[in-house]
Amino acid sequence: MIEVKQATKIFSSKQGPAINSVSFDVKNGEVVGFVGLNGAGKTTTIRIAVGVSLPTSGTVLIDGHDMTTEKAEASKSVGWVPEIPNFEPNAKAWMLMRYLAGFYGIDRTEATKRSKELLASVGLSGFENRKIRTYSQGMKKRFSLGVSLLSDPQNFLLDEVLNGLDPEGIHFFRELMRGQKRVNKAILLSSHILTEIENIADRIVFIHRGHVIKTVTREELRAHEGIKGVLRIILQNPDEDAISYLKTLGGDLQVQRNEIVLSDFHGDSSQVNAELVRKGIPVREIKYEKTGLEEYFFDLIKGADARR
Amino acid sequence: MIIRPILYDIKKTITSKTVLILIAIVLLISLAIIPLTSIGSTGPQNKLFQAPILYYHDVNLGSYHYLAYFSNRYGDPISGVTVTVILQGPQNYTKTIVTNSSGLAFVGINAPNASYYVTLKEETPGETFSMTLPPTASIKTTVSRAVLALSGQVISTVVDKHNASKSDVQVFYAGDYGVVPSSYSLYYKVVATPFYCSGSCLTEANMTKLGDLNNYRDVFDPSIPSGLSDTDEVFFALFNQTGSAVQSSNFGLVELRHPRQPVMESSIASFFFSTILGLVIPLMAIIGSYSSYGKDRLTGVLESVLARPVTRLGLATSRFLSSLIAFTIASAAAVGVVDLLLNSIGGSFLEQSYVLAIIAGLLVEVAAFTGLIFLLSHLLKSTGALLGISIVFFIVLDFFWGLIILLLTRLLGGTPGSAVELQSTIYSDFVNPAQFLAVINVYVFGTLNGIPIQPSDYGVTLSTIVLVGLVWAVAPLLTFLYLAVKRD
Repeated sequence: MIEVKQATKIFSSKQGPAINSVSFDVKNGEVVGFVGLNGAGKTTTIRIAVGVSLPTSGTVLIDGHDMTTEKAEASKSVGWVPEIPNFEPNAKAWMLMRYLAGFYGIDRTEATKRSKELLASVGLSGFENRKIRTYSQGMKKRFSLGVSLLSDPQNFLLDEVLNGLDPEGIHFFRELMRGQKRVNKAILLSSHILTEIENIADRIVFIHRGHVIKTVTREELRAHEGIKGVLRIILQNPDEDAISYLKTLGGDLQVQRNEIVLSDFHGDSSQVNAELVRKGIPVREIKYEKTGLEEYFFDLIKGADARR
Repeated sequence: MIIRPILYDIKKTITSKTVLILIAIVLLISLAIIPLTSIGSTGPQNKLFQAPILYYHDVNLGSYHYLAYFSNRYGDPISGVTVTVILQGPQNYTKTIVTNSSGLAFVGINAPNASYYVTLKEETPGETFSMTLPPTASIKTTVSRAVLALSGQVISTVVDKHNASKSDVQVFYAGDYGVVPSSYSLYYKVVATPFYCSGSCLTEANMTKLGDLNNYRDVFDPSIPSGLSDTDEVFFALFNQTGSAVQSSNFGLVELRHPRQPVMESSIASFFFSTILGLVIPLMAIIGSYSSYGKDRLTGVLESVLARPVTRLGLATSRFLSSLIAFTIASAAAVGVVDLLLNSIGGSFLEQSYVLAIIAGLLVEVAAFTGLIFLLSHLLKSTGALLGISIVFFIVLDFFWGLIILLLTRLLGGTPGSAVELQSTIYSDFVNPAQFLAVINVYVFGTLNGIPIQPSDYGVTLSTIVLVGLVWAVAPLLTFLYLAVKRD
């Protein structure tokens, strides 16, 4: 569990605080989205939470251990993937991972074995002997994820990890987060794009100009009247059976040849797909989009700015 | 938990390319002692060590005999020295002999009894020396066959081969008609000064026997007992078969234990350590510290380590210690190589306490510069700034420091070699970690800029050196650790 309590960071007395009395928590088995514009304070908060930056005031508790005063103990159960991973560029991947494993008390033989396994599990099999400087940004993120998994930590802090990844990479990270959530891990996932994390986060903490301006659950977000889900399905043969099933899902249904658009949809698109397949209705394509999320986000920001 | 990261960091630091290259450079530079030694060997400290010229005049045969012995400063014979004796009188006579494998040259000149002026020339490759010996007429001997020492002392000191910090006693003598001496014995006696000897105080009975002389020359180790005062003196006397003292000499105890002047190896070593290693080690510490910490910190790479279960203090300490250990090992290895080379060239190791003092001095220099670079990496914002300031630091402290202090002293009215200038130099060396070895050399050898001084008169004592060393080793480290723990 991650608890951020009244965290404030002032880099320079000439400027205002980068974050000011930021408080939120991430419970075990929960994915919390941390959303804000660039410069809102997401990375500053995460850096304080993982112990690479010191708070000017406030505390961060990791499984009850203060990251400032009990750094070594708190860091044991933290996995951090920064937006731009920055490792020793001239080190070979598996050797660097083995070196970092030493900090977790993992013996050399075990560290070597685990490093190679983790590199394979994050899709870097065959690249173990390459130097980090030869890695692409996506590979560095995968490597960073592998390092964060070294100690099988209880808590993950993922800073803009989906940024700059190809679709396969995004899918990989999403699946990994779902898997970790299933085993009761606490995950904080930051992004400046709400739509990117809306469908994976259980809660979303909005931060703007160093202040937490709103925390909403996924249900609260979906229930917001301005936010609508649009499900686009292309069927090979949109027959009566298919139409009558889709009508039961609620919302406005429009049929244009073999494309069916279901507006104001709030369900799970994967379940719809599964049901259609079960009914023997061939699905060519199924796509779920949300409208109004960005507007919601900008309204929050405008409201916060107006209050200041 | 902290041990493993420290071990990892030490290994990582020592095996990093930059550090390995630097260590290799330092070790290669230590080989520069070889040409330095050969330069030193042509200097005045390594010239031929000449025992006295022995002389006898065979009146019956009408011949003048000169016996010379040449050695190095350890008393080892040197062959191949060309010795020429020129007699100038009613008629001139010249004879040239080359020293044999025993370092001896017997020069006998058949010349009628007369008064001659005598000149002796010694020639070795690259060196010629000429001396005037007493005219034959001025040498009054009661027995014409008896051998006399014309120059220097029959009993002299040479550097102990196995311990350059002490001296042995060399005796060069011959029996009547220049034959190999037999049944001569060397005795010694330690006396407290002032010592007044009246009559026959130097007799075999009240002296201790050191050994027999069974050749023209021999070297004796006096093995002076400990617990004596440095002001004590040691009297040596050579007795013949009848128990009469034929030669005697006395030396201060200090001279026998510690040569008054630094021996050649110490002199070259002190120059090498303070000038060359004193230059290279700070450079190694600067580049190595930049590579092992400064660069990682300023590029953010260190954060990938700090995110692990390690405290800020633990990580900072482990990085500092690993750098310190790596560079100290390299420095100590360089000193060891120099000592081994000096031993193989000159035949003796440096005094152990001096070697330890130099290694301790290098440790202080490494700690100071490592601490300063680590500290600067918390004050500066870019690797370029850190490198730039480090290089400026190095150039000023290592190359221009002496010049700056000299100019300042002159501006303040100091004259060359004046006490003010010497004092300014000492004070400035105290505040410059790159000059710490120079301060140690001042303390050990009692010279500054080639001028003999009493170090304590200028504040150079063991306690001030230890204090300054501790300050330089600890102050940058503590400031660095404070910044590493308290600031991002």
